[in-house]
Amino acid sequence: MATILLVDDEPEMRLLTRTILEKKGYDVIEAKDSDDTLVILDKEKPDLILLDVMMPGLNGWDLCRKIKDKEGLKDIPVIMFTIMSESHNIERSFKSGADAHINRPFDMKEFLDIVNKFLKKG
Amino acid sequence: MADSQEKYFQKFGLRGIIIIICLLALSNPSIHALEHVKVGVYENPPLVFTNNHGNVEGIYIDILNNIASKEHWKLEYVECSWDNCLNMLKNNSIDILPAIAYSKERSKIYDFNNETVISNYAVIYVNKGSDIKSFIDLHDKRIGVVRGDIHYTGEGGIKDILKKFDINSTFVEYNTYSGVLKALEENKIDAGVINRLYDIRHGLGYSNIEETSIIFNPIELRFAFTKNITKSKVLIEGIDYNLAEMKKNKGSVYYKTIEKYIGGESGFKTLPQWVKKLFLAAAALLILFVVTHFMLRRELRARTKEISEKNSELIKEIGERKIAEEKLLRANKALRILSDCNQVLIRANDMSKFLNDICRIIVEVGSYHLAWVGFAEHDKEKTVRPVAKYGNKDDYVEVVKISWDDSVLGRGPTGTAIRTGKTCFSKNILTNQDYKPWREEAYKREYVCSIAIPLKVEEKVIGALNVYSSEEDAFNWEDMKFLEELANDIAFGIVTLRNRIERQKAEEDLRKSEEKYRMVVENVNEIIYVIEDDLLKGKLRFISSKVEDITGYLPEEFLENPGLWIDIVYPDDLVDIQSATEEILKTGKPGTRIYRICHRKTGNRVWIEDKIAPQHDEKGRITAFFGAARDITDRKNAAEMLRRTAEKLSVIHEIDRDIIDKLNIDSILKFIVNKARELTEADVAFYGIVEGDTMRLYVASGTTKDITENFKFRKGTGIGWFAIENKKPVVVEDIYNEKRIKNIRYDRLELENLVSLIAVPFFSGKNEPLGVLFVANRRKTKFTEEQIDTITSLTFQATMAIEHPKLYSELKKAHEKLRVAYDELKSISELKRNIISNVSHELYTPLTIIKGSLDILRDEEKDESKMKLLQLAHNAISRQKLIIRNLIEAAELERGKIKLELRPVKIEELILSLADEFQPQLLDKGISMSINIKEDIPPVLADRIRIKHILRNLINNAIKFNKKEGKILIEVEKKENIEVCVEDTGIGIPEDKVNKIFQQLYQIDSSTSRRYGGTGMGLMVVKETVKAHGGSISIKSKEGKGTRICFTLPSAKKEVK
Repeated sequence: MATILLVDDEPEMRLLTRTILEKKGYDVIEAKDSDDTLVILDKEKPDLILLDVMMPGLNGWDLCRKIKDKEGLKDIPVIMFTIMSESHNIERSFKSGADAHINRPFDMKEFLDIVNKFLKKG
Repeated sequence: MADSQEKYFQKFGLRGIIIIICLLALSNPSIHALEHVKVGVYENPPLVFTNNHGNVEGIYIDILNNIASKEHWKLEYVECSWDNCLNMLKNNSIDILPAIAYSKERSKIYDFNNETVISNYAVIYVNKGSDIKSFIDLHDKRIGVVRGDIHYTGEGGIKDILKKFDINSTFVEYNTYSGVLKALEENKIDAGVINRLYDIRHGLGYSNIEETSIIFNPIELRFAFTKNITKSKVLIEGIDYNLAEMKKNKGSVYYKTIEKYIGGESGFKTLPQWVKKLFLAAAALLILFVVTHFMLRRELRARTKEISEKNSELIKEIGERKIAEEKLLRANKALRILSDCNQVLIRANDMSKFLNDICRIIVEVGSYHLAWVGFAEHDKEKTVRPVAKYGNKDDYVEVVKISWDDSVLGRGPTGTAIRTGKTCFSKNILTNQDYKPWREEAYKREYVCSIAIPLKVEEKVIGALNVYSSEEDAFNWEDMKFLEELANDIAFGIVTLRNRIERQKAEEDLRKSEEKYRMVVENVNEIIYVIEDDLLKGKLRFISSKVEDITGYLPEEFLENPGLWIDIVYPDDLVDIQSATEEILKTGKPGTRIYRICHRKTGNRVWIEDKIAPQHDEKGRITAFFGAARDITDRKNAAEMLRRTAEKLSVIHEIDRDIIDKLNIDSILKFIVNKARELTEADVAFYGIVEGDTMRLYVASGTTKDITENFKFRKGTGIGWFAIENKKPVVVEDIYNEKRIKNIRYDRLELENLVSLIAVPFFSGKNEPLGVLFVANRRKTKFTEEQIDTITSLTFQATMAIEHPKLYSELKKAHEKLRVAYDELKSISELKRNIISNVSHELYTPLTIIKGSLDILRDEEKDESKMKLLQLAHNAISRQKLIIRNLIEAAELERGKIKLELRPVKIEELILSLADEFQPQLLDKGISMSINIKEDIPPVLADRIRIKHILRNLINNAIKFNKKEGKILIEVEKKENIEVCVEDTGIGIPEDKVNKIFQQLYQIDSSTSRRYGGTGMGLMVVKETVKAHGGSISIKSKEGKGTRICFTLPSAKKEVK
């Protein structure tokens, strides 16, 4: 089954998202910030990355750009998953190279539909 | 057989031996070991006391001496004070203390013998003509008592009783009963508590004092002993045995000593005296006494009968003694019941409980079978309805049917008594023909004889009291009289209770209305108060709690101390208060007093404006004053500051002449004159400026020629000087028809063809004339007051411009300060908006977790009722999301930071997805939503997320303010632009409020916001967002019918091309 890397600084948020994804049978790896993420990505190659924006250290958009600029990682689909829900913020997600943007609070069905879509492609 | 006999003997014999041993054990020490008995002696005449010769004597001493001689005790008298005696007895320094009132409480500390020597009780004494007739009357009275008296602080004492009855009185303590009586004579107290024996022995000695029927706390005076020691047990046994023996013998020391000290039997014969008094006492107290007395008499009769049977002179005598003794006992009992009953009556708020209690007392005390009270109903059958009952098998009253009609069911005692208003009885139910309908039931319950007494209230029979006995012919004439009297008292009790219930209701109503009034008063920002009689020293009847804020004192403190208000006034202001007060009193008209007071807590000076309205009676006399005082410190301070500023300016003016010269007064005056013409819509305006003895015309507005040049008015010529001399505005409607002013300079006025004018003079702070401001027309004019006022106020500015040119620079400084403050405010406001934006974003994170968790549960939930709850939570979250979004949008809109990501958007897609989203809410309220999209709607150029948000707001409102089963219509139409309309059948908006609906935080009224929830920010966001898109928004609404909101968005067609 597909593996999803979940990047978020809020433990509760991670727990919730992990629960939703695991119920659908996905494997979930957690990272709490950008440093964590880059260490994991050195060793593993997940099928999808879910990225929060507001994080200590490098923010989600910058992290996304970093991933998308790296050879070997840029093929991994990245979904921004954030409370920054205004139009200009969505625009910024795409400018950072993200493949999708999901606003929080999110609708579970919609969320799973999008995740599903990217994994099927892969 | 023999075997069993032997066993029986053994058993019996053994028991006999044990009994003998016990007797020996008890009797032996009493004879031999006790030789020395210490007796405490204190001053309690005539029971125990030391006489003038230093010898101990008294009733108890005589008795004790007699017993000691029989029991071979050697008595030693130890004199001690009352307190000391008790303490010595406690630690066994003495063995016996005589004449101690027995109480349960005391029996925990001391041992008591069983045989009572004499009984006592307390009586309330008052001055003749006092209105104190019962315990209730003692409320708020001063009662004299003897310190440490059992009738005062003891159990059942006056303090105890009044407390039980919720009666508040003041107790004044004295050392002796004579002290109490003296105080009563001197009117220092309203009532006194006196021991009965004191009265018997001493007489009152005061001609103006009399005994009331208030009697309480019957006590038995016995001997007390040290607790729990063997010696006491032996002494008690000896005293009880001998005392009982003495009481049997008329010639014994017991009777002799009582005769000697308290007039022999008169001590007991006092009983009928107070019985008589009780009859005269308040009806409430009477009821029980009648019953008790009645019972006593029955006993007496029974005893007499018994004695006559025995027919022995000696035994007869003993019998009488016993009766006397019995009487005493019963008196005690009667007093106890009386005390209980007082409580019942005073506390009785419930008619049925009261009547049931009376029935119970009749049955218990009179040893009858049944007592019940029936009320006469005025129905068709004339039913007698039982309302209270007590007795053996008292279901009788429910089983039988009794009427007061003149029929078979109405000819029994009860019916007859009610019908005729006279007592009626049936000597023998079994033989009385009229009793036939009830005979069987009565027989079952062993009722043999019955009596019915009518209950009359104001001469009208309202029912009957019925008593049943198991003896034939149980009621004689006397019984009848007693029961009739009792019935009277019951009727009185009923009336009293009815009145009491009515009064309680009235009091309750009063309390409610007062509460209402108080609430109104307390909410006012002023101190409201009412003073009686004297305005300066009179009694405050009421003062509102606002007083605490303003003065720092509590309302109660003012109520308790009427002089407090004047005390906190600044001494300097007292004279003003005095004269203002006199004015109010003289004219009888409302007036105002202004003065300073000192705040208790802060010590600050508080300015008070105190308005007073005298209240008159029908004869025009002042009965009270209504006042409203408020804190005007701020106002006063502002005025004070203004005065100081003016002073400062004038000083600056004096010192800084150089600077003044450099200021441009001309431009200010020019500005003013232009304003004067403009505001009054006049043709011309100009000044006349005073320069010594002449007036020069100066700066004109609206003139065609230069009327100001080369001309000066001499003092006393022209309208200008006239105005200055009169010191007030002069209005001339027509210069050719003006009679007041002598030397009008027509030549000057005609230069501009002026016909009418207003001339307003203005003066310096030192009252020197500065000039005149003229406003003139080229036609006859009737000037209005308003025009005059306008010019007058402009002259003030002119005065300032001339007098205080420095003001201008001050103003500039103030302006600068204001600007700084404004900048500060702006940055705070900016900060606030940033905070709102950040906080709002932060609110999303926890909401996401709640929503996500709920979604998981919802996904798995099969139970429909739980599902409903989850849906409820889901709807609430949607609402929360909308509110947070609105907050963020509003903050951004206010900041002007809104950045639109314009793209072609298919509006119908947005609407359909929202229809899905709102499906649960629509279902919930039973609202049907129809979407009407005219074909071929081109995409609009818009920020997708924002447009979706405003549509969400509009649909949310349409649901929120809709009726149940209401309708929503969404229409999209292509006109010049694309128009989207959302229409509902909701509560609508009142006509005068429609325009305000788009303002921030606006809802029709606060009650709406409570009923429908929301921050009122939604529509403001909608409007601003539409405006940012270059669209327009409109609203049509009818109150009660519904609302239709339409907005337009530019079509994306051109751009797409």
